[in-house]
Amino acid sequence: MKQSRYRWDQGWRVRMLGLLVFLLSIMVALGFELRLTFGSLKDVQDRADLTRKRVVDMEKVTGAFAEMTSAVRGYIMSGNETFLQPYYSASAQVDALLIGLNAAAEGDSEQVSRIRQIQGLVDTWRTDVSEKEITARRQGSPNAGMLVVNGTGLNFIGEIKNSASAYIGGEQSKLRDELERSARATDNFVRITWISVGGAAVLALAGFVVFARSITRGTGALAAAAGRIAAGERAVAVDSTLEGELREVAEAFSAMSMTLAAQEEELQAQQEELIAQNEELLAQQEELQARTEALERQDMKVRRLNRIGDKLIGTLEIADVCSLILDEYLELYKGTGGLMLVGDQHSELLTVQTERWLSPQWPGTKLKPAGPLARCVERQEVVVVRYPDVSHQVETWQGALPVMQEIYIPLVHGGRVAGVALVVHSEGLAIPEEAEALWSSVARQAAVALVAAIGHGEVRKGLQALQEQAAQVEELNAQLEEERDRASAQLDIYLSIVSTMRPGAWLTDTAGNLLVVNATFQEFFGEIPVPANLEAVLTRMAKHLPPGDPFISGVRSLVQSIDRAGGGTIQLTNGYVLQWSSAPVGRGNGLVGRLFTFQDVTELAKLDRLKSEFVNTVSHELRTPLTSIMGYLSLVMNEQVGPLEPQQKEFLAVVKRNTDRLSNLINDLLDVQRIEAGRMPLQCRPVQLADVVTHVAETFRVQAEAKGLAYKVEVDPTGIPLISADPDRLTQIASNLVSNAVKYTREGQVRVAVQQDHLSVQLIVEDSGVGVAPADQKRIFEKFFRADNKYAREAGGTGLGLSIVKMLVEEHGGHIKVESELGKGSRFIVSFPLVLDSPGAD
Amino acid sequence: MMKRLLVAEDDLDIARLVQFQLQFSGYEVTLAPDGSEALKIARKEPPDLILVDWMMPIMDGLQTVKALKADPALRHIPVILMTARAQGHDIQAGMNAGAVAYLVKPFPLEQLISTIREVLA
Repeated sequence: MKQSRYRWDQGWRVRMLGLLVFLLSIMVALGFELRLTFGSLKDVQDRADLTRKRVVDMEKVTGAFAEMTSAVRGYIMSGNETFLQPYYSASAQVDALLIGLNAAAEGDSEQVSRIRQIQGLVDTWRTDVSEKEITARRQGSPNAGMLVVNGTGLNFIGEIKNSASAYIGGEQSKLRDELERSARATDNFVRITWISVGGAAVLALAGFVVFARSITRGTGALAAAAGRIAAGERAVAVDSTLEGELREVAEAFSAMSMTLAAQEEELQAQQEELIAQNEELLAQQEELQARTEALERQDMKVRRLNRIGDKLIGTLEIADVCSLILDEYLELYKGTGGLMLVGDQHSELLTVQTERWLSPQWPGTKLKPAGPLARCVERQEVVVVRYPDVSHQVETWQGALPVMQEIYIPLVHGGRVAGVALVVHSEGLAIPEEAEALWSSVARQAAVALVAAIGHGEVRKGLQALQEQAAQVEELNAQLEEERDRASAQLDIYLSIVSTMRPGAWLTDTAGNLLVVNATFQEFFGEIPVPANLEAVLTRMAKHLPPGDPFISGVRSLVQSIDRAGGGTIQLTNGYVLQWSSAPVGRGNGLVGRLFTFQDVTELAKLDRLKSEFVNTVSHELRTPLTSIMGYLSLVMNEQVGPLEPQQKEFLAVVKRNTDRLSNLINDLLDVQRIEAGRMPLQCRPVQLADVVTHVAETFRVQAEAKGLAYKVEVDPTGIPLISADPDRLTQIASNLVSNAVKYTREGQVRVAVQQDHLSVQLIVEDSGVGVAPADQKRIFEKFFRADNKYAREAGGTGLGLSIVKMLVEEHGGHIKVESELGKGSRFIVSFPLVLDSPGAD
Repeated sequence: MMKRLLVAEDDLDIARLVQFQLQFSGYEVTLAPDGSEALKIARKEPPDLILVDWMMPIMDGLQTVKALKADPALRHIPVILMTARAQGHDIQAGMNAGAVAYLVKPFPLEQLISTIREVLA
């Protein structure tokens, strides 16, 4: 039995060995494949890590470039060199990142070309845009910022972003490929493993079935073991009670089964690990997906920042900048309303610049930082205040609005809070995550824009002031120009008027230099060569005047005193008699100078002389016969040539009265003529009016008392100041008035008084005579005016007395007035001005 | 002894009036029709007082006064001017020439007598 079993054993041993070798080789092959798969999975993971790093680096590149553009904007807006610090550091960072990325992309020509493209764009942007702008800004060029603001700068940003996106896309697709490949490798490995294990199991089973059929003994355990293996068990130990070959087979089977089981366990573990790794890879893929989404969000954020930046850079008006910033924050925080406060450079006060959905009364309000606002400003951090209920309210244009939440965002630039954006919520909203992520970036940009706008506003204020000043200067210039034109036009007018004037005319400038003389002037004084100053003209004129004529010095003093007028009459040695007058031409700024006119009055003077001669002659010729008439009449009336009958006496008295009147008339006429011709010069000296009047009044006392009048002379020189007057004329004045009073008063009284009244000395002559009708009061001083009064006829006046009085009074600088009532009497009041410096004036 | 007056007056009516009144008042009166005639008469028979009219032909009153005052033999004789020229400067000129008084025509006869009496007193 044993022998046969061994015999049997001999053939089976060979077969079993072959089977074992086969199975072992499968195991080895599986192990090798497992190693390979592991290796490739590790590679994929490493590459995925590198890809992620590259994606992150590329994000950094776009981030850094965005920072460069912001920094340049900041510098261009503010001119502050500190903005260039981040510009240069970001620029170096971009270069370093791109060199790293370029090295990493070695072999991937597509990615290399993208990186080179980005490098090229960055370089071009630097040379063509940023450096130019920085230089332009430094040199103060007015076009600074144009390249950054206009399409050129934006195009670069867009292109760089596109290239970066393409690069990132390329990296992502590479990563996806790797992942897919690794996933495929894992699947293959699992498949191969299963096939190998399955195949080995089937072969083993087949072998065992053949073996079991060949032996009758001891196969039950093996069969059971094989069945168990077939059923899936791996480490199956065959009963060791078997003997001989079967025992060996069983042992070998057991060993094989154990090995198989161990191998399978290892495989199982490796498979599990693979699956786990795959899962990890999948998780990584998910993470990558998430990162990609985050990247997209980041891109959105960058785009949004750029959009805000573009908007902000597009305006330099502080109001617009504030509106933009506030709107941006309101959108970010989904705010109900808000305020934009701007800091003051010189105080801690904040001014509300812009308001949204609150009250329009806010703008312009100055706030002293307190509470959360103070906290925000002092700590330079976002302060969120939440109110537990609706009790906290804010006034809006729609009424009171409950405030659940306030967010104070400081806009910090250069270590200072340039402004604060306040967002108000009427609901207790959670702050959006996006807003949290964005606030600091927006705040930086907003702060830059705000500071730039404030600076711009101040610069512009200065500029505006300058422009206003310039405009004022221009306006003044225009006015001056206009005035000069006007003055010039006016001068032209003056010159042409002077040239065409009929009287002689001489126009000087304010210094007395000759501007023009006309033909008539040269007819009088000879030709005047131009240009000529005052003395040159005066020398010419002096040749035609009697030596020492006061005219020359008069002209000098007139030219020196701009606004005086003057005039007089001069008689030239060549026979001309000229009435001259002079007055300033133009006024104020338009003062041209002085015009002298010379009216030829030679003929008039001749006529005047003729008239005087005529009057003289006539009066002489009248006086001579009058002398005879009066003389012979007197002889007859005095009865020197014989006695007269009473009626003869009466009639001769009429002749006498009328002869006297004729005589008075001639005297008065001569006086009028002389006063009017200026031929009665006053010989003024200090005079006591009271003394003169006393003397005159006494000469009329007899006449007055003969008429039965109460004759009151209330004249006392005590305390009466002296006046400057011609005593002969004073006598004439007083005589005329007292004579009239006595003449026109039949009964009652005549009163003569002298008194001081303020700055004048008055002569008052009062009577209870016929009086003067109101309508006649003004006219009684006219020549030859006679009140329509039957008694006046009887009185036999000349009609010239009062007009002579008035002329004489006025010659003395005084005035005369009458107060009268018809039938009740008259009061004449003559006022002479006081001589203030006379001894009697005290 | 009766005072002798010389009256130089070209107007005969006035000359006769003055002559009548002066003779009436007790003076001896000689008439001259103009200044030069008056001078001749004065030199022949110097009067006590000379009345001279201003406006006269040949030699007017002012010239006559001046001529009288220029003659040492006649210089002491007082001269009264009679004039229709009532203007201040005319009177002044006559007084400057040497006249002692003036009578403005037309003058009352009372004034003529009183003036002469005053001068001769």
